[in-house]
Amino acid sequence: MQNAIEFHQVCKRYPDFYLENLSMQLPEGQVMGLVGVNGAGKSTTMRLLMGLIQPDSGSVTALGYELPHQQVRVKEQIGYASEDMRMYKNETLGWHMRFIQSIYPGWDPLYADHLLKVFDLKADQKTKGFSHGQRVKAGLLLVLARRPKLVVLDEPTTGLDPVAREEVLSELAEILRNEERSVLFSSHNTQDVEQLSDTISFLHKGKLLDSQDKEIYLDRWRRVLCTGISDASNLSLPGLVRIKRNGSLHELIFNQNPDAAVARLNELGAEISVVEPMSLEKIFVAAVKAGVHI
Amino acid sequence: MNSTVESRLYKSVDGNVSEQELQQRYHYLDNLRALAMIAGVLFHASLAYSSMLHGLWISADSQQSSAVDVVGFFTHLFRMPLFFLIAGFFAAYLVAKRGMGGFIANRAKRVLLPLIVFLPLCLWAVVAAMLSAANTVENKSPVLAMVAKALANPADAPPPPPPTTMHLWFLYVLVFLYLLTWAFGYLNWSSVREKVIQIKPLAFLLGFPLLLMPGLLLVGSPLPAPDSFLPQLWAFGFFGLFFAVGYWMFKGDNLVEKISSYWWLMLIGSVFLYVLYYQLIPKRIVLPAPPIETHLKIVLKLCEAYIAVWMTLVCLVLGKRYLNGANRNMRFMADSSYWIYIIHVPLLFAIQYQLMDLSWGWLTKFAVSVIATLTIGVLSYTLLVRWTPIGWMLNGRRK
Amino acid sequence: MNYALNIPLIKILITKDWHLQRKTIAMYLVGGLFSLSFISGGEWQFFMGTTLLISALIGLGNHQITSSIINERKEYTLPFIMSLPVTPIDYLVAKLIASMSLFVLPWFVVCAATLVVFWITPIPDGFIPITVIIGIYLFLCYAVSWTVGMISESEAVSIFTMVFMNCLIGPVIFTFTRFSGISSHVSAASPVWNSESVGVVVGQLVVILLALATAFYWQARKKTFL
Repeated sequence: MQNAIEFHQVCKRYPDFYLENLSMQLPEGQVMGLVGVNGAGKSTTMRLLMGLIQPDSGSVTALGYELPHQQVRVKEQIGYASEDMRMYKNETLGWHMRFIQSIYPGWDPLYADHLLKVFDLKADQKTKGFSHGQRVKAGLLLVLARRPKLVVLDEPTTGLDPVAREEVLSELAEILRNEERSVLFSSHNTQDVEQLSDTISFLHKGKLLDSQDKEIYLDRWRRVLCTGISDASNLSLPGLVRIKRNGSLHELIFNQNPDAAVARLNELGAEISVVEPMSLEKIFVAAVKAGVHI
Repeated sequence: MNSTVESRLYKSVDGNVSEQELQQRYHYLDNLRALAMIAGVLFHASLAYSSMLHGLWISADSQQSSAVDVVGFFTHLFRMPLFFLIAGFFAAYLVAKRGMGGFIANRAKRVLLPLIVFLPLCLWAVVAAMLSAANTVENKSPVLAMVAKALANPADAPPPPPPTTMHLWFLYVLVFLYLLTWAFGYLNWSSVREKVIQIKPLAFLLGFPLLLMPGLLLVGSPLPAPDSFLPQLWAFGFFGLFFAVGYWMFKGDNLVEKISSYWWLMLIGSVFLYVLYYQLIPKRIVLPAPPIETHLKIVLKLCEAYIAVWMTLVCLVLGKRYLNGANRNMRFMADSSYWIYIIHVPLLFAIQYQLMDLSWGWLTKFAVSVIATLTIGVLSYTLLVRWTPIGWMLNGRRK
Repeated sequence: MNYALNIPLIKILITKDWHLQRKTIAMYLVGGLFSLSFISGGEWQFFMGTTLLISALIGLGNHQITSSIINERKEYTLPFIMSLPVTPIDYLVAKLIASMSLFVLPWFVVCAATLVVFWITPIPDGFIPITVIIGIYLFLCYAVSWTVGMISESEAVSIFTMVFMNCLIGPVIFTFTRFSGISSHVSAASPVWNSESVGVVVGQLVVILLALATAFYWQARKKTFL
């Protein structure tokens, strides 16, 4: 399968930020969630993908085209919306729709009208009167109605009220059904990522902690509660990421092969009370705190 | 790229105007406009026999009559105001029909392009006829004598006057008014509109002329032609306001119906004011004009303002009553008048130069020059213009 | 950088800029026409009209740079435009043509009208060289401010440049009228173009071209566009 996105050992240095050796791929038709705290490098990654930033070293490819050199070809097929993107405040949404339509031959007017209704937006309203939620939805409308091959969304759900967030997520889920369309979206809300993504990439301080299928994370990570461990600090178990003690109760977090770890704990005489899968948020927090490769 | 969408992106159409209103042809306005243009031909023809302008008009004849001035300068006060009012009306019509972009494109083709094409040709024709007349005419007008003298002694000659827009000044001023139409279109007029609607007809008839005073006070009497290439502020304050009233008239205010019962009062008032006006204006115009007292100037300007407004409205009322038909002859006159007006000045001069040495009376000369000019105008329109690209440029393509 | 320009999109961007600036253009058109027709009054109206006209021209230039270049960055519409199929160079070319066309046309009309006034009035034509120099200086102010607006990422720097360049108009007139090759011929009946006046004009044109070239050079080398 061809990759929609390929980062190969990409480095980009800023005075106060360093994106280090980023390598990752997004196969065509897949949805990748990019997770990281603020300043992790999510927006930089997306701007690299749009050709707006030239990497210091390494290569970025999207839909088979090199960036930033072939950014025009790439951008003809990408729909990109970011949090810091605004429309012209004195023009109406309808004007913006016609503007985008004049550029993208693939614009789907029926779908655009459908989105107007679903998102409860008015085409004849000037964008300066838009709330944050309306602005995000309008931006998404302009991106989705051009029927792009690759959708790149920087923090699409940040700051939305629950209703708007639900509207946006369900519409995203709808477009993700198309198997040829690839999506990269970033969020620091792991719930949204968990709901939509096939693949998840964790970024932290400019480094890619991991990039895997969502199911793999959920399969591998376990939280184990047990008592009866005498010397916790010397405990050496495969895949042990973190250990936390609360009286005689120990909380252990494993990121691989949990069955083997549980068996080994039993051998050591530990009394296991709980072995439970973890949510993506907990996995992310644990990984960031431990500073480990996931 | 999707060009239809692109063109739609920047187009706006006024949705408030009904289709029926747009399709209706305003015959009386077409006809009045044509009459105003023909009246312009008559006026310019008469100036050769005007005693007032004898020292300034190049084809001034030795035969003169003050009757020419009495009639000519009366029509001079409202001929072009009427024309600009109608131009404003049709501007609003076009904006409503084609949107602002279509309006500008249409006006560029019908007004700007003819100006660019015909002004140099008219200038050339006038100068050529003048140079020829300077050598051949015996009874030269004062201006022609000056030209002949300058040609004979180029070293002593005063510098030639700068070129002007001549009789095509109205096209030049219209271009600016169309640009202003576009620019003012961005303002929100709804509050102004509400106030204007409440104005009573009588208040309009008495109040509107006062708005013309600032513009009129900037120039002398009788009114000169704003034919300089430098835009004239007074022309915007005078003709521009008539244009604005015309624009307003289309926007739904049935002005003509409202004031129709006052027409004879306005006509009598205008004639009365003109009697006063004619007493006060100089009987022979010299340049530069001698200064006149302020109170006298104000009286003159008030007369001009009221006569211009009232007579324009009288023309509208009578035009709507008697000229609102659409017969073939009227239609022919409406279509041909633009072409005839454009070419009439060089033609008139060339013909009147030939008449200067004849011993006919002024009325005969006047009649001959007018008939000859109109005949050549009509013939050339029929043969060279009506079915050719010149006609398409001036009046649109005939279906 | 990919130097094959995306012409159809550049056209769309130019039309877009014209459209967005339509009210500014309309406002200055009315102001400019008023000032121009004011000149026709003669005497003091001539000086007031001329001053108004030059102020309108400077105002138009600065207003336009602020609204189309600085505000695009400040109001975050630049990321929106850059998400379209354009390179930074396409963007620059579109901005250059859109802004220049909106400034050059009125600038040319004003300069031409001024020269026509010299031609048709008794003002000695010897004034023409210094008038041309001042006219070109106004264009130079615009070109430099435009370049700084395009390459600087700071509103403050751009505004400072505009104010600074326009403040120099007085000193520039003062300096050039001190050039004997220029000042000694102002009352001549016909314009005198000697090495000094021609040199100043050429020098100004070189600065204008350098300023515009700098914008292109800078943009082509930028590694981080947003």
